[in-house]
Amino acid sequence: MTAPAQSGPAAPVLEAVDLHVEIPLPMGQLKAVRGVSLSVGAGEAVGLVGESGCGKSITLRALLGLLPVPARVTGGALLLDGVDVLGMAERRRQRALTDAISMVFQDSLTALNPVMRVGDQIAEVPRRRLGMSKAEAHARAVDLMDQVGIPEPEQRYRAYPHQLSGGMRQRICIAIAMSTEPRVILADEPTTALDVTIQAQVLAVIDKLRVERELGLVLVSHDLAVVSQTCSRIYVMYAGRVVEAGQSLPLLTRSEHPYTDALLRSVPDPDATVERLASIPGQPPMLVDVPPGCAFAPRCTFARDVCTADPNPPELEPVSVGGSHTTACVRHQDIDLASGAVSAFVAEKEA
Amino acid sequence: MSSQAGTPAQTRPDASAGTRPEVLGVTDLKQYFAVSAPWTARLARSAPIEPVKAVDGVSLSLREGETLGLVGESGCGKSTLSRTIMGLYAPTAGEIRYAGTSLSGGPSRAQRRHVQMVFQDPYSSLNPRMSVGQMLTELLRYHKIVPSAETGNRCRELMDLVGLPQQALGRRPRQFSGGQRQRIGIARALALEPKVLIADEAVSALDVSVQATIINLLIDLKTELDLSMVFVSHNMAVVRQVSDRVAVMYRGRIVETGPTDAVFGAPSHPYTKLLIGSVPRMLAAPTQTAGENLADPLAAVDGEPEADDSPYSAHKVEHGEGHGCRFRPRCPVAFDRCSTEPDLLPLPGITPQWAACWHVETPDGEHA
Repeated sequence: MTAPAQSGPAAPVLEAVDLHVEIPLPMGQLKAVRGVSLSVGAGEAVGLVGESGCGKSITLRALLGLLPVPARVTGGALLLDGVDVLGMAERRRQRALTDAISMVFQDSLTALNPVMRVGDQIAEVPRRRLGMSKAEAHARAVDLMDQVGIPEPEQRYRAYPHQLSGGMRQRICIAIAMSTEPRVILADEPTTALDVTIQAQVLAVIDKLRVERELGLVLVSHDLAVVSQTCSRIYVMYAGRVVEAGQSLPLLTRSEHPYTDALLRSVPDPDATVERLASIPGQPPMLVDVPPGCAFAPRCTFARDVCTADPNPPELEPVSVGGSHTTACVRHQDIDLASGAVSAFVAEKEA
Repeated sequence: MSSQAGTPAQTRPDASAGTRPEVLGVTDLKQYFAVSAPWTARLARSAPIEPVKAVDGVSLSLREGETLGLVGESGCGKSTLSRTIMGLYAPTAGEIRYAGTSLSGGPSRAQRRHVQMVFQDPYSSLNPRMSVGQMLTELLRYHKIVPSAETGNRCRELMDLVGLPQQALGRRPRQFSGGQRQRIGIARALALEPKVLIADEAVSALDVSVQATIINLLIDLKTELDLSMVFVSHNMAVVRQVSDRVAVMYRGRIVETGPTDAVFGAPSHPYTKLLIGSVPRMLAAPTQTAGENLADPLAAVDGEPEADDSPYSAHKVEHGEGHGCRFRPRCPVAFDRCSTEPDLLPLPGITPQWAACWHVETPDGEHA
């Protein structure tokens, strides 16, 4: 596997600007995504991390126009090659998005049609969208199955999803995602349902395709280690907003937001035993009635009055002038988070 | 990981566990599930289908005050094993002991009380129509833990113990978050004042920050109440934090067991090595951990046991009697002795560590 691609200054393929998503509920509007901006370039892998309910999956679905029914985009722009698609008519927008973007879901068993042969599920898109003949589509499906590392693809073309293992099924899902020749792949916890020994193989397949085909990859995961291995840039989300963003290495070793730091500390280390795991007290806010200012302030050990003085949530600002590492912590210059668990890990490795 | 390999591994500070008596044990436990043949096979009168050997000859011993981590991937039988120990299934063969007495024929009400379980899913394991107080009161009354007049007090004590406010007693499960529900699940298990707690993937459904609080709670309670614990998980990092000893399961058998730091620091069985090596490490290059240096070509493309009835299965029920080591199809260091299945063999050295691998007896340089 190659190293994560460097994010160049090249124009992003897909870009979300100040995206808002709301879900109407009986008790009010649930503000699931509250102004998220992110971008992914060709051949670039970016990660979206955060805990359940932080809005990472909803953001991903909004990028492809796949929001579950009552949820809708209430603000912001979605740019595909610099063109805003949200202003387009429904059909044109769906066509533009689905031509350029594919998605891989967490649970391969529910993502696949249980009564259709897996090969036919891969061939369906080339047949319908690319207008291939039956034989061409079959050959293409077999070729894709081969590329995602399925042994004996000709035989397995005729398998049904339940006959394949979880790892094989997820490879089928990746082949389906690749069948439209997309430019961006959105992967929502693609390996969470898999065993660890299989997880690495499936991630390697996704990464190989990204490099070979210059694909943009947006990987959503709750597992910081997985994201740190796969992605060159990371967005950390909390309560519907990006609270920290930047290149993986500086973000994970010198985090500039107390939430990122606390999250990193609470991950148990497979290579060492600690006296006591760090945890984050309290709970994330209800997104129906979001508190003023920084949403993390009630749980933050570094919070002061200044954190909630401004009713608007803090914007991302660069950690250093002109740098790409940004944080939404208003006190980032006053506090020192440098003793994070990952810093210790890196120091130990360098020693 | 490698830095510890040469030195004798340290046991956890709780070394007294080594001298305390066994509280729970199983010997050669087997749990088979019959599989009905598909109608096509019945029509063709083909040979009867072999049962699924979920647990296939497991021996374990849990000492007082000890935490045993049971790790393995999905389908390895770890949940079946814990459910069989709980008495939720009648074992096919083998013996389960509690405090020195055999539980064959099913545990009595009194014995059942002493082994309690915390389940994985904090959503489906609590009755949605009962308030927390009702759940606990029912248990306390049925098992006659405290006099009737005392049940209210005892419920409030239990809430304090697991760190929930006393108002929680009047609420129903849906009014709680995942982490709080898992606290309720723990309170329910502790209501019976058990000696042994079996935590079956108790933190797997939780976010990392919440997971950490529940792990800390379990560790605290274990010390405070002098519990013994079987901690079942697929998460190697979590098991490492919690356990004094670990047992690694693969396809129904224990393939390696020993003190946690010894097994993690110097894994001996090829499967344990693959499992520990595959855990993604922060900022590490993925190839280091992808298991490519450990896995054979088959494992690289198809490392996972597929459903046994799948015509595409690479590992079609080819283990057990006369089939050799069950890890052999994925093993990078398999040799001719592996055609017979090894029992757990003691590793040379001072730490009591065992591995079900012939390389323990036949060191070939790498394994010495």
